[in-house]
Amino acid sequence: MTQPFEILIAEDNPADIALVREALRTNNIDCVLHVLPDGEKALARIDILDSDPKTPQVDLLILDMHLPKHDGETVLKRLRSTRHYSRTPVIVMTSLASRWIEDNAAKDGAMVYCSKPSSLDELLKLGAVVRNMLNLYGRGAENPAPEQ
Amino acid sequence: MTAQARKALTHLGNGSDPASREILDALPVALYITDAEGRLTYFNSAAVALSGRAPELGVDKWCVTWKIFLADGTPLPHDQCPMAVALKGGEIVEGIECLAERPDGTRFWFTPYPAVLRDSQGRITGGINLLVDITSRKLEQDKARQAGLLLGAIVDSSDDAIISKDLNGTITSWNKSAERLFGYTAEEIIGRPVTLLIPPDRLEEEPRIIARLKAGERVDHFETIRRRKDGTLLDISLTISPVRDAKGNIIGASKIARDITERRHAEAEILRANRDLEQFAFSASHDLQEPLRSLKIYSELLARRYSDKLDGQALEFLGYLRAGATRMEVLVSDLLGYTRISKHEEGPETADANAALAIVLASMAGSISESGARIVSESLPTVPVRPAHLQQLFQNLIGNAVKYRSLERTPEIHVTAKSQEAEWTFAISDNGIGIAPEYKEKIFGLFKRLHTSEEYSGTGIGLAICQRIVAEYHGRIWVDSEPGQGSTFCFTIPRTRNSVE
Repeated sequence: MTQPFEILIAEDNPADIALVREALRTNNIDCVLHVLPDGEKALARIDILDSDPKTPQVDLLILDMHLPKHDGETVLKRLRSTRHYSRTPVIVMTSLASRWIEDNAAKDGAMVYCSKPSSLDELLKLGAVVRNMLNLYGRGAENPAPEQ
Repeated sequence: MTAQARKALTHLGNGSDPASREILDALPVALYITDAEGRLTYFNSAAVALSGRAPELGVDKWCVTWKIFLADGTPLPHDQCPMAVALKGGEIVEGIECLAERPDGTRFWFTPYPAVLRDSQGRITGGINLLVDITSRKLEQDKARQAGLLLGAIVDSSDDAIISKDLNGTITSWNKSAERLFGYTAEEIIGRPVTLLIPPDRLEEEPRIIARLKAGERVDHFETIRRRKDGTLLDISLTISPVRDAKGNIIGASKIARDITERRHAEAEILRANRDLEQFAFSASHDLQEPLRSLKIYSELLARRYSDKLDGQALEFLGYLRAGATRMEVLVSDLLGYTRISKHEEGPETADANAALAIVLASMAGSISESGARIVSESLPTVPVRPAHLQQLFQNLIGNAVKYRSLERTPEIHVTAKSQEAEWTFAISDNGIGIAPEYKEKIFGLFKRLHTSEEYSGTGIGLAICQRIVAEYHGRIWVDSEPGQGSTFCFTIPRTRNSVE
């Protein structure tokens, strides 16, 4: 019996959090979803996780760019500067892809971006992206992300 | 009146000699003679005509005139008139200007030329005086002075700086507003070069202005920048016209400078306000998309997941919810399109209209074939418009022509372009339902619709977008229509990008 995936979601809109839950459920992804409702809480969680010797504890971060207090950009940079989570897969959820997002996605193999779902098709697609990222980089993946 | 003439007159004696009287009577100049005491002994007919009276000989003294005044209007007693002064052995005053009044109240200006008559021993035996009528000259001088004063008052009270300069560019006059505008007083600047007012990076303007003036041309509303005495710059509009002398030679220029700093600021303010508004509309329509997305996907989820648990009415309500969300989505995305129109983008600035039309027709192939419309176009020009903008124009106008087709006949849509002097006029004509005359202007307004969404779908933004695109290029858009027969939408595109240049 495999452990459920540990997934962080930094997102302030409950409707979108519920959508992600829905996407995970419809794709039968066995996971525990931890909600970080603003940038400050996201940064704090990242710092605590990184200082904990029992690592890694996170398989995926789903990140909204427009977070209260600190934006997604800051959160992503902090995550990438940690010791243990610099290669943790990240899905950036956005309604408008910016140049910054595109550039980072091009450089950072473990980061993808997808638009926030506005239809059931897109919802299914989001679930597929999550599954794909977990398969590629998550715990027990065939190609775990190499340590830096 | 020269000394010789007066000497010659004194030789004519006291007017008692009939031969000299004949000469004196015939003279066209007023003349009279007195004895040593100043009593008039003779006056000629010109004197009567001028003074308006015939004095009593041997009684009236000093002067033939009725009343005399000095030039400043103070009354001059007869015994102090130049003739009286001369006869009393005083100085002979020449060439002064006097005013006289006739018994009928009319007045005239004259210059007296008095002389004394002496006998062989040199004793004063009488006097002779010529009165030269200078009324017409004085009136003309007065008129000119009045006109000059009036002109001066106009120039000085003008809000615009009025300056004149000669063809060397030396300032020759400077009004009060020029002082106010440029900070130099008239004393400081007159006689100095006009280039003092020109910022160093615009000095080349002056020779070009002078060249045009020499050619007799005016420079009208030339908007430029000039420098104040304190070195600050100001935006002004210059109108410069050549000034000619009496022979018609150009001797200089008059320049009217209007301060347009405030207007410029207002223009910049409006531009900024418009940009802010655009930015606001963009952000607003962008942010509106977010809650809309939730609305859409959750109503879809509800419909998919729970349709078997909902009753008929709940499903109907859900249908309205979803239709509303879909409509709002189109509206917001059209509005975003509207706010994004700007020619300050990157990419090509000219478009081959044939290519733009082909792209649009390909993208609309479905709705065109569904409507059975026949689309005819002639060879179209390449115009200085961004391809995306031209495509949008075609898309919206042809889209409307297809949408508002008449069900009674096969839709026919013609796309043409006519070349005119300074612009291209594109026309998209159809044989559709047409537009009533009272709506011809209204339809270009944002959110203006003529039909219910049951009849024809739409957001009322399409033509507003067209209007906005055309305005970006300083063109015009309008519609000619015969209700029930069809509509022709026309828009113009100036041949050059900036029509001001």
